[in-house]
Amino acid sequence: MWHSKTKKLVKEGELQSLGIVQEQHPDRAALYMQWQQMDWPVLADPFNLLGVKVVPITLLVDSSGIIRFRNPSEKDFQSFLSASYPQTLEQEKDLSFDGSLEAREKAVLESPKSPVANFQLGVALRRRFDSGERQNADFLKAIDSWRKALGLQPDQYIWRRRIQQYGPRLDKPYSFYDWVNQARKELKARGEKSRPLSAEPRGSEFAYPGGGKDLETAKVKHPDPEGKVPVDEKMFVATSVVIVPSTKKEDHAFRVHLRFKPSKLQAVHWTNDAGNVSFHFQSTEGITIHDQQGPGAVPDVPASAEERMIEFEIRARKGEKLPAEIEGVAYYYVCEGAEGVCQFLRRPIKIVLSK
Amino acid sequence: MIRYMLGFFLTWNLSAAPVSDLKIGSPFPGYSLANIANGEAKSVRSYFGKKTILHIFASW
Repeated sequence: MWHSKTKKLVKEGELQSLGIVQEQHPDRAALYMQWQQMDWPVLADPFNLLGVKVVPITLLVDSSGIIRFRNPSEKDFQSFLSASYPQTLEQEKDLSFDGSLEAREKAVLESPKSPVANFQLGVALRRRFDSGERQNADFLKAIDSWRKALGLQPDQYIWRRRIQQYGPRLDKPYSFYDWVNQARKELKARGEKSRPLSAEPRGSEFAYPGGGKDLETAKVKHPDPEGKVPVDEKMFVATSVVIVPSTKKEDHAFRVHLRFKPSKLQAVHWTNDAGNVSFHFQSTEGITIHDQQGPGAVPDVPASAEERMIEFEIRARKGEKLPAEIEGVAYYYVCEGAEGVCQFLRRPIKIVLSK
Repeated sequence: MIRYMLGFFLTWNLSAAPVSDLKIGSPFPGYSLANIANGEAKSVRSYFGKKTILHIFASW
């Protein structure tokens, strides 16, 4: 709304537009700006240094950096444009913030009950998870930190959204990153190359089903009902299980993120011509499974060692309570080294829904 | 005393919990934030210099 209203004023130099985005992945906002053909500068505040609890917020700021209006009406805007504000001679000192994981861990050690410190630790952990420096538990720890922060300060909507991003689909009050595919399609039609994203939105980050399946669990055939497939005792494949509950207490729903990565140390790779990773529930008593996504298509090469992901939602059956934990088994085909033995292995996985 | 209080405020911001309330009449907090177009980080205050409409938003 404001963009079209102010475009002329900005062009004439009477006003400037500036944005600050409250997202874990600010490059997604860069794609959004490209799509919407908005070219004013946008700054990233993933750590929520501004302390805002909601978005959007519109501020009118004078040339000395003093906030004059917050969420202005049309009348406020006109009065802001015509006003002559005194120039502030003395600038306040800039504030420093260290967003490194070490600094954020230290902040939580110093103030373990600080909601802000816990939220910011979660941001730093998820940032490392999305980087080349990823450690297996980063995502899980990020969710734990955000949940702790929200528990300490439940009215923080921006923090709540950070959990909802990875949580159950029905927990999202409106569409999340569903616009990304539409933006890319339209940019392509305009002959533009879409800005790249450092972390591709997937699975839970779409509010509407992104091609996921609701499983009719009774009809799914278990590949190994008697448990005869050998267990991956040597940990050829590292697994991580991240369980994100709904932020609404009354919703008995969880989003489960499973990740599988062949061990680099043991020179393990997937045997692509044999098949993909799969996951099967031992029992689905009391639960229903929704929006199962992944592991994606097998690469068109005989061997590869990329991370594979499976996501799904667990909900309580109508009128029933969710069990404290659910057992399942992952199956995969792997080979050890270039000349090593190839095997079909299983990995039992426990999904703990209550802490 | 004022210097002591300012020093305390800055230390507190470094270690734990920077929070601003963006009140009308108060200066916009001078955090250094990265520009999403090129990653260049500089103080938000350095962008002011003329009347500004500032949108705080998220793309989701």
